[in-house]
Amino acid sequence: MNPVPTDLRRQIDACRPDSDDLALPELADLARLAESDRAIAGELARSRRFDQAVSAALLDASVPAGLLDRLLAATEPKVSPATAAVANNAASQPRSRLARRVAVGLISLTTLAAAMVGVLMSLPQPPRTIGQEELAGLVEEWTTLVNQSNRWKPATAATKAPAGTTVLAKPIRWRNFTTAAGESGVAYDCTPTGRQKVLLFVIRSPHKYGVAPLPFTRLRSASKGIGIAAWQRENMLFVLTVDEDNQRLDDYIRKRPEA
Amino acid sequence: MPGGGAAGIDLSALVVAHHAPLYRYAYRLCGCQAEAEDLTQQAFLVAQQKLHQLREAERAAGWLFAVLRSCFLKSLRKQRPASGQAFDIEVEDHAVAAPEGDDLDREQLAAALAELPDDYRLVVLMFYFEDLSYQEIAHELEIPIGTVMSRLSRAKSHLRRRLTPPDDSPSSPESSNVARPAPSTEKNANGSTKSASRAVHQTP
Repeated sequence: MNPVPTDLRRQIDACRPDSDDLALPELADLARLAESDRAIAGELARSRRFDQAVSAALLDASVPAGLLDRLLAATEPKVSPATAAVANNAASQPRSRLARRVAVGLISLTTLAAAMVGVLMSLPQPPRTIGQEELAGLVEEWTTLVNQSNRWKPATAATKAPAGTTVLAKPIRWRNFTTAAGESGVAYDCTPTGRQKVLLFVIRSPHKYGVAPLPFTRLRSASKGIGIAAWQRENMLFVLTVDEDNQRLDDYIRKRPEA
Repeated sequence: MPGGGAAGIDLSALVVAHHAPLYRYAYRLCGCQAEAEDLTQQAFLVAQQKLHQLREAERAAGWLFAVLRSCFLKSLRKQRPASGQAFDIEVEDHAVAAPEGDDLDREQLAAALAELPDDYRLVVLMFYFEDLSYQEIAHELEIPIGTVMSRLSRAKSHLRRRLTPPDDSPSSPESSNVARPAPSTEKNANGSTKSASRAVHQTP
C-alpha cells in the first residue's frame, strides 16, 4: 500500500466539500492527481464525505432554553436613536460654545425624555389578551406587510428558524419587520422548491395570544386555502402559514413537536 | 447607532435570526454551555457597538461569526498562561473509513474537539462552521497558509482517528493506495522543524 504523501494529505484536508478549492494554487498537485489517480480521487471523495458528516454533527447542538430572550434583553438599545444622532452631531460639529450648549441641552432633554419613556414603558402593563380571530386578521396584515417590499435576505446554510424542530421546513430567505402594534418580528420564507408559499413568523410580543404553547391551534384564515398554525412560548409568538392548494399545513409540523 | 446598522439592519432581528448558529459555534469553540452563552452574548454586544460596519445584510452571518471569533481570541489571550502548555496530537494518518450518513458520535466529536489545542480547534471550526477556505483562514488569523494547512490536516487527522475506526482491509479499493504516510513536519514560528510522526508537543 502506498501512503498518501504528507503534502497531498494536507491538500486533501484543505479542500472543502462542495467548493471549487481544487482551483486554488496550493492544491494544484491534488487537482492533477485527482483526475489521474483513482486512489487519490477516492480518498478525496472519502474526505469530503467525512467533512460533510462532521459539519452536520457540529451543527447538532441544542440551544439552551430562554437564550433568545436573554440575548434580546441584553442587547436592548439603551440610548434612543435621537439621542445618538444629537450626540454624533455634537461630537462632530463642536463649532461654538453656544452650539455646544444647545447640543448639551438637547441631549439632556432627549435623555430625560427617553428616561421618562423608559420608566413609563417599564411600568407593569397588564398583558393584552388577543383572541384567535383577531390574530388571524393580524396574520393577514403581516403577510401583506412582509410581501410589500423586497427586503428579503437570503438564508445561509447556518440559518435556522428559531422554532426548534417543530417546523419541518428550511428557510430560504428571511426579513425583519415591525407589526402595527410595534412588536419586532422576523418572517422566514420556507417555501420549498416548486411548491406554494410557506411562511413562518416569529414575533416578540408582550401580549398573550389565545394559542397553545405547541402548534396545535389552527386559525381560521379570511383567505381561502391558507392554513395557519400558531403557538406561543413565553413572549415569542410563532405563526406558520401554508398555502394549502397543493400541500397541507400538517406536512410542515412535526407530529411530536419539542416542548 | 446601537439599534440599527448602515443598511438599516436591526440588531434584534440579527439576534433572532442568528443566535442559534452563533451559540453552536461558541459551544464548539468553548465546549461548555455556560461559556458559550457568555461568548454569544458578548459577541452580540460587540456587534451592537459595531453594527455600522455591517454594510450588507447578506453578510451578517459571516460578520457575526467573525465578531464571535474575535471575542473568543480575546478571552484566550486573557486566560492563556505565560508558559506554554504541552498538548499531544496524534498526526500519524491512517486509512479512513468514511462514516455512513451523519452518524458520527456527538459525544466523541465533542471530546475529540476538546482535546485539540485552541489554535487547532479554531482553525478546524473556521473551516467547518464558517466554511472558510484555508486561504481565508490564513488571512483572517494573519498566519501563513502553510501553517493553516498543517493545523487543519493534523486536527482533522485527530478527529478521524477518534471518530472512525481504522480501515486496515488491504483489499479495500479505496485504502489500497492510501495508508500511513511518512512522518509529517511543520515549521514552527521561529523557523525550526519538528517531527510529527507520532505525537506533537505543541506549545501555543
